[in-house]
Amino acid sequence: MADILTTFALAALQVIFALVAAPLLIGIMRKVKARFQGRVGSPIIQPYIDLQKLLSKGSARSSVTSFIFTIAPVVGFVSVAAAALALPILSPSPVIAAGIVVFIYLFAISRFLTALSGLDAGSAFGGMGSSREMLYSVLIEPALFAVILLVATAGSLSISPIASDFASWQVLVATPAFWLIAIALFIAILAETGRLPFDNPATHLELTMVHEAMILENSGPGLALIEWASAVKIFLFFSLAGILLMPGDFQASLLWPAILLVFCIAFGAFVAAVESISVKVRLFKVSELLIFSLLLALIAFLTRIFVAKPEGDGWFQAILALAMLLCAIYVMFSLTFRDRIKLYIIQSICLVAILFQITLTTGGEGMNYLFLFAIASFKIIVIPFVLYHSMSWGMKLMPLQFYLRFGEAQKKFKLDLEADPLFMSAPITTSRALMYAGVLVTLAFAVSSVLGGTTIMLPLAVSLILIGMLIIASKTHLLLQLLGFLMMENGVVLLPYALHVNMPFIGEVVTLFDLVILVRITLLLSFKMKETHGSLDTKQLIELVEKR
Amino acid sequence: MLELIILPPLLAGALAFVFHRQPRQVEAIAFLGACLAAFFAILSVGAFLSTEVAFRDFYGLLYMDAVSGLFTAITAVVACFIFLYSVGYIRHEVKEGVVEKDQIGLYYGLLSFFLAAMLAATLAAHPVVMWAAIEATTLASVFLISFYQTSSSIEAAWKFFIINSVGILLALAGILFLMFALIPAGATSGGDWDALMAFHDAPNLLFLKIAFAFILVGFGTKVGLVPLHVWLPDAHSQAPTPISAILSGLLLNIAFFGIVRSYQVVAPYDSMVSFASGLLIGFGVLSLAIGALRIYFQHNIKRMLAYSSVENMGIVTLAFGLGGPLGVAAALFHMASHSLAKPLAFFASGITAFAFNTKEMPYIRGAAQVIPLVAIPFVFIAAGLAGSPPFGTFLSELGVLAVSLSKGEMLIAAALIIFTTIAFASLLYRVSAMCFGTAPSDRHAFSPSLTMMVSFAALLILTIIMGIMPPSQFVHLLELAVHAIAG
Repeated sequence: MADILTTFALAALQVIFALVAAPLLIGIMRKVKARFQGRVGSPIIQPYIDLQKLLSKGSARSSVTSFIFTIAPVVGFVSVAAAALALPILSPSPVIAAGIVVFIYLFAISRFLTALSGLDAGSAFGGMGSSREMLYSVLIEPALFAVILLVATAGSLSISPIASDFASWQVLVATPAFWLIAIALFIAILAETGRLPFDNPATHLELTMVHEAMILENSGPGLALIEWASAVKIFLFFSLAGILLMPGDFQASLLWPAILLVFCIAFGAFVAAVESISVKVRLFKVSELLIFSLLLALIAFLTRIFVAKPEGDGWFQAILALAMLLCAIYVMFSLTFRDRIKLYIIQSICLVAILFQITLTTGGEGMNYLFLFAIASFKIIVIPFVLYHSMSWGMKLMPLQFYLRFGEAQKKFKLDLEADPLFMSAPITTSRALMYAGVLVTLAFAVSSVLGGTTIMLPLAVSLILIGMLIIASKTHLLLQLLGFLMMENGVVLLPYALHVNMPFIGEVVTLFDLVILVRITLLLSFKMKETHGSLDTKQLIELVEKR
Repeated sequence: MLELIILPPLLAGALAFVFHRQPRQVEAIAFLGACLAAFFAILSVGAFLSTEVAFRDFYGLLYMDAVSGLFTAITAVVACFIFLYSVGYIRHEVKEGVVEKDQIGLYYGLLSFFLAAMLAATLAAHPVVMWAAIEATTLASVFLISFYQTSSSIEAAWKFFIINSVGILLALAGILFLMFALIPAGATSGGDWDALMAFHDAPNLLFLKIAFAFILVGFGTKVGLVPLHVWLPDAHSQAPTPISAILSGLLLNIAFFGIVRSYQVVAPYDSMVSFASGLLIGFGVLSLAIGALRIYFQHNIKRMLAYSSVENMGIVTLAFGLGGPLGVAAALFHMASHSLAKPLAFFASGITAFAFNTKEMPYIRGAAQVIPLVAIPFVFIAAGLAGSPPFGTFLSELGVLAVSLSKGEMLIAAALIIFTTIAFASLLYRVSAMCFGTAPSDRHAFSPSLTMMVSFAALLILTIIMGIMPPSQFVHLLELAVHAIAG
């Protein structure tokens, strides 16, 4: 009896906690956005005041509406409040054990009724908003369920941290799955709660509004319930992120509700910041973003299965490794030449830092440090310098220019990469690049774990090699292919350290020497190709292709 | 003494760049460098043959055993003929105005560096150094392939450059895997080829398999194994003819040397040998088939010869994959014969192209009337390339057939017979169509320059000698190499 009473009391407390905390979160997010826009903004408690005002007012309703319009706000509010029971907010285990399926479908009920009531009034805006909202929900649901898949690897559908066996964040962030889930979840949450790249909660512009269009007809207490429900929804989804992404130890602690609240506020501030610097994507592009989120979640799922926990190398190396990987992936996006070179420099710095730490821990000798110094100076300074100045200085740095019959006119010309639209464009579309990259990284991790690798250096090296090959194979700009090659080479440089193979000093030096010559030759060849072909588009290299 | 093999071309290359304003001197220096390299190569191989003990030199960085001796000797000797042929060829191009005088320095400088890099690859004691030398061959030959600087030659050079660089980077990964799989943890040295070959108890065969696959794909790109051969016809057809000759006759061998060495390392493990054989036979038969089938459809004379290279390297790979002493012997002998016959074919095609002022075969008719001294041997050389006596390729292809039959591999034997026959028919049809018939009336007798003819005739004589009765020292070296590889 006492158990049931405690459970009920806990349930009631949890719902009240969610209902009370949610408007606060909205207030803070609005404040952050206001500060970003250079305004003072309304006080943080403004949402409470608004709710109180709306609740005390009467409401007007169209004469054509049916009972749906009346019950929709109430049922929606109740189902969202009930969803608060499915999360472990106040206690380590959720009150409703049914878990995440119920959680998501409670929101679906609310969404369904809101969409119906949007249609009910028969106005043009309401119908438009409803149709858009349902389109979104079709796309969001798979992404959210992909996250569930991850939860399912723990053996049950109840919501618990992705890795309760990770005691601290230091270990948790070293797993690739964590980052992939974090990004996938972030995108899905932004879409589900109708935040900026998907929907602008602050707009009433007919072209762009989605959620707001549905509830244009509502007023008074009905509107108050809808607003409140959407605030609670935001709070609950931010909490979901907190629960999934925070290490297990936190949830067992007594301070858990407070930690969760702080997390939600920080997360909300981050979302507000992201919203302040981004624009709404076109309706047709929404599917691309959400499919990206879905793919990331699937890849995370795979890495969770394949990848053992990193041992030996701590969070320092893990973060550097992740940075190297992200640089390789980011090179495939649409960037200027300068930015791409910067990415290579960042990647090389991370590489040198990793190599330095490995040399330090394995007790390197003077020669090893000398070689590290050589790598650092070549990869961070010399190669980027040569690449960079090929653009602004033309061919002054090219020793062979005399022999290669460049005319006087060509001797002055530059590669003009800043203005080269081909170089600016991404070799493959972003979502495809990410998909391929994800597949390749997963492959690399899977292969390495089969080989019995215990550190993340081996999969990192293999991923870099594979992604470099992908960039080269995507057949775009000649210098982009060179960058792909350089990234690939970074992966190969990592290999002997990952495998603890001793390279002879002479071998290391001649390898580095070859690389520098290779960069020079590529640049010379690119000047030559610009002369003969007019551009550096390798897709134009079809003169010698045999016709069938 | 081994460093003396690499040093002359290296020095000659540097001098060629310094004295680029005096083309005659540059030619002489480069040729002298190649001759010295060949001289010292033969001397070192002789020294090796007298003791039959593998030895190291130059602070332990260079290493000579039977296998590297064989590859070094072939490379250095054939290179001399190619350097000599280059003299007449480039002078002719300068006279025609296709090449400017300024560029002669670049040509011989890079060619000498190219040779030095190839010799360094065969002599390197450490796999990573060998890898770096093979990569250096790519770097040195890019501007030789794009030497005419037409848009198509730039295209060929870039394809050659990027495909081979990527491929060879995979080979480096494979070499590192190989070292990881064999060298026990904590060992500070022992990565040299001879040390790797001495290991007989690798703990992790899976790693060894991955390593070999990586190395085969990586160096196989440079050998021109189908389907990694896409760069090969382009580069061979666009480069100046002596460069095509050196690419086809020597560079492919050097890349194959990397595979041979790795095979030596994995040979002690039975499961590895069957794994490696499967891969080698697969790549070999595929290259043989595609190379042979594509020959007939070519219009560019050098493209045709390039596909013949793909076919021949396919036979070498296949024979090597079949394994056993006879298989390995057939592979090495075929490779040596091909190294002699293919430059010869390119020499002939270069002179023919000069005489008719085109490389397009449909426009070449009745070469026997215009350049009888070249055209008549050319027909026999073409037949020899496809495996007819008195060329060495006949013996080696017979050997491959014998091995595949003795091992009961009827399908491979059938494929070998069918595709070599197709290659034979296509090559002979194409070349005899060029050589016989009536020449266009506006073509007068053409007398090629002395250096070109001398090197053509000398290499022809050498090739026939090697086909009919190879020198006993060479046979002995081959035996030792076969013994080193196949036990």
